[in-house]
Amino acid sequence: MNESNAESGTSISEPLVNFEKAAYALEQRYGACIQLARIIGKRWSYLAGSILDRTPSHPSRRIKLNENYGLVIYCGEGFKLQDEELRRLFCRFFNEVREDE
Amino acid sequence: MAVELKPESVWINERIREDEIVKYLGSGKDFIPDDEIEEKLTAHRNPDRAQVREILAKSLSIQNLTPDETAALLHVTDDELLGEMRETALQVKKKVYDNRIVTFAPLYIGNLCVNNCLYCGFRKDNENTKRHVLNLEEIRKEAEVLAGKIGHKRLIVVFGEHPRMDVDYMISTIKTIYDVKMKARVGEGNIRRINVNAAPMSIAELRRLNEVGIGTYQVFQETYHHKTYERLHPKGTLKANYAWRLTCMHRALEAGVDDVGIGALFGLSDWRFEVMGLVYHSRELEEKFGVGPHTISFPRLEPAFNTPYADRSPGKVDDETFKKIITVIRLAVPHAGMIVTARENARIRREAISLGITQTDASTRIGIGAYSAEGETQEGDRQQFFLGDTRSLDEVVGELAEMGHITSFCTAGYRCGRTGECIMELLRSGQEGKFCKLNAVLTYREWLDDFASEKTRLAGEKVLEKEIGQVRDRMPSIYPKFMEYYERIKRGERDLYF
Repeated sequence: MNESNAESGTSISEPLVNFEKAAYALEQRYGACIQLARIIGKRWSYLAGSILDRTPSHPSRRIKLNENYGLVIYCGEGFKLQDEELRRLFCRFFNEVREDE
Repeated sequence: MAVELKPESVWINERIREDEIVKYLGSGKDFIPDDEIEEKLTAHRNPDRAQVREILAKSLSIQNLTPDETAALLHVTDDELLGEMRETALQVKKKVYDNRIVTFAPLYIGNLCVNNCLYCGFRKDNENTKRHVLNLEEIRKEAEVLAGKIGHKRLIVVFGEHPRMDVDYMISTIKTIYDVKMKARVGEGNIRRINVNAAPMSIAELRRLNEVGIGTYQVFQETYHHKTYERLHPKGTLKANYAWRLTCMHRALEAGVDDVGIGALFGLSDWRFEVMGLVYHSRELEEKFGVGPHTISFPRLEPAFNTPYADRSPGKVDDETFKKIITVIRLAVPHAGMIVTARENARIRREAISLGITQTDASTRIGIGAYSAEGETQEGDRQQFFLGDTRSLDEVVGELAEMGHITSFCTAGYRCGRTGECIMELLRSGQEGKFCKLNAVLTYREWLDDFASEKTRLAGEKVLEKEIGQVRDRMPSIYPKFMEYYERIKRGERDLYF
């Protein structure tokens, strides 16, 4: 995945790398599966992150980071991070990425 | 504010972008090599039993078949082997999608068209067709019936190729439908996924269409055979451009549409060739984008009003051949959803379900404005072809229940990031089938409570009892949360999903 926008000059490549590092760290600690999605109307379109390889124990959590990006998280009871904490952690990677006109 | 429409000739001239075809060709050639396909079909005329069984084992491991392997299956005539193929096809379907059948309804928006395809009731020169394009108020009324009286949650909205149905009109239509919310017996009726069947579009238009949040973008090649295509689509029409149509899914995927649906109209050319065309198309998309088709459709040519070609086409497919087509496609592209529609009669649809199809429609009306209009179920001069099965959704759900199938109204996948390469992986590993099962039960519960007749509800309760037992036994870790959602739905909450 390597979207870039000529207007803002902000590529998604670096945010994706940052996302993957942060997601990996949380997955290792909590056993969660964390994915990044692009939000298009009702559609949350998979962009990056682990793909679930086991039956989930809970429904996915969807956390909107901004108008264009969101997290889809599969986790169990042991995953204590609240939506707001996760937003603060991941939002900063994507706030500068602008969508193509 | 009224939008001034371009003159038809101007609109037509602006449609095709040669640069958005050429970029997907290899050395100027498209990815359907007619001669190569014919050679493979000839080479595999007499497949041996051991080879066929190896191919079936590969399919059962949820791997795509090669064109050579597909050609071999297409030539099996031995009854015993055909039986094994059918059984394997059903096993493949169960492995990937469990026992659920997704339901939807088609919504034909207009029957104006700039093309003149010889086999189509909507062709421009068919003067006896009563032409109409729905306005937004009429569309809203159609959606109210579909969502509020019948209880559908998924639509395929069908647009003709005409300046009055350009991308702006499509976007307005989709927004209008998504906005409809109707009170139902216990909960609420609304449309949660809108798939679009439309003409090929440019990348820019597809980006705009994608932004409104569509489900699947579906375009049928009609026939993959180059010479037949040329013969049936008159020169000078938009649709005459084979490569523009063939590459529309490349453009869609590049535009960010990650659920695409392909299909061929069986009856126009040799059926074996068309199956190979579908396989080549699927492989091309997976190779170039990492994503195969979300769905494959294989409608048969049906009689159409004042359309002699539809009656006399030399390539028409009989029922036994049709069943073979379904079986081979199921085996060749194990992860793809497969749709059989109400074009087919009830008997054939029942048999198709046993061969591994995953989606079917019901309470179908294909006349323009037919859902909200009083009058005949079918009106030849307002619809593209004649339906084979006009049974209600209630009847079909009831029959599926008697057959041991759960009808699913699920729309969770595309709202939960299970799209693109993610869903491809989940389908291959069998994990998606688990989500399918959970969401089928939840949406089935909704529909039974809001819309089912007493007879169908009773049949449905038996299905639910079995399904819930299976969730408990096979997915114990998620069972408590699942039952919490289930009980909340029984109390009237709606749209809870995994």
